Amino acid sequence: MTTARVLIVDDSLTMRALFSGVLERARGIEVVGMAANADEAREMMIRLRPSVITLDVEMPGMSGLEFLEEIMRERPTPVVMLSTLTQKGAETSFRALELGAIDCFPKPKSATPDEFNALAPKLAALVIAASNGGVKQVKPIRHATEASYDWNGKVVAMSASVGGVDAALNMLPTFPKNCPPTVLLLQIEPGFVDPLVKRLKASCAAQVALAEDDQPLVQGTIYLVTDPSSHAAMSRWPNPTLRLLKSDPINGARPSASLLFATMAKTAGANAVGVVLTGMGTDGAAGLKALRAAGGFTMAQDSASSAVHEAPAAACAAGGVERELPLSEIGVVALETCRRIADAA
Amino acid sequence: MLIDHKALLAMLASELDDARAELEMLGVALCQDVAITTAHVAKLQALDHVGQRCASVADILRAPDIQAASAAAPLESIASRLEGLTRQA
Repeated sequence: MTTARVLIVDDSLTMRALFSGVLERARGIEVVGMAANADEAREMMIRLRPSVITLDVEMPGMSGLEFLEEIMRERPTPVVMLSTLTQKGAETSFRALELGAIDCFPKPKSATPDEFNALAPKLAALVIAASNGGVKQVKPIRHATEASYDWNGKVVAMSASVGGVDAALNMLPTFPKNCPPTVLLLQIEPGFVDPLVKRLKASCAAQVALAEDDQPLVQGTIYLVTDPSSHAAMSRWPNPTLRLLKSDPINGARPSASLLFATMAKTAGANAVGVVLTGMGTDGAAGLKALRAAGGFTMAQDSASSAVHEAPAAACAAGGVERELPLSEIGVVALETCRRIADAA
Repeated sequence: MLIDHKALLAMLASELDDARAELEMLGVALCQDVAITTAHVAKLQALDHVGQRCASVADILRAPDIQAASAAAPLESIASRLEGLTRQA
């Protein structure tokens, strides 16, 4: 793995110093420069050739979003946006993802070394993953074209973390109104949940709902599991139900994709489709393997279409993946697997 | 003390519902160790099947016509037991 060469772009001297401090201490990261505005950053990008940029959303003069647009147009480089978790900040973050940012990282509420140290491991992992993953390909969102869909009773569950918002916004609008019950477990900052739900509701033909405890999974609904205080498990078959459980993280993850997939292996077995989408870490790998062993159909997002390929790669390495596919094909294959095959005349 | 027959059946059905819920949560708890799921998925699925049998019997106990509900039970195990009883009669 090559060292991630980071350029920090932030108008605040304090923020630059704090971000630089936590990133410099991380293994595999070298902070090659710090810029206070777009002009300085432009010059440093040419001179220092960073492999990844952290960019403040709100800067005087040219805003972070405007500069992001310029970077993606003139000198495509992986960018991690740093933003505040206000409602406005979350909306801006979504725009940044549409423009090609790898992910948006929430700035701490107060600029204290303690707060930064707490965020350090996650930010460092994200910066390294963004550096290794390269520039994201931005594609226009497609919409469902199928008026009717003959469902065969199977259920779909997917997991994602970094890049997952993007993946969701690209894939789920292609699902028809009466799609199979689909659970998407997303490791995202809580502040991003409401804007994501709003965007998905506006762009999806199917219903979009935040997961609730004891919720029957029904055709035509996409369930989002995002609450970091509980796990999601599938219970009961037939008539599957989603349960939310207040228990400890599993291998550092809550909600745990591995637990969701493992409970699907138990309840649905061959009637389940499991997918590990773009993301960091190894959560999901062991559960997907269990699901595959139980006869479920399993997929992982390929490297080229993943913002970060760690989680799909871990699922492949664990032997849990039947097919590795680009994002654009995963939704199609999931829907085909859950489609009733018409009897031959 | 005499207990109303219908209330008794409803109480037994409710007991079976609780048993099913406990079985389901036991299954989910075991799934938290994914190694157990991988090695024993068939046994975990058997837990779910026991839960389904509990639910099916609870539905029969709650039905206004227990005989008809038994005959229409979706589970094969109940249908075959009923067939055995019919033959004996």
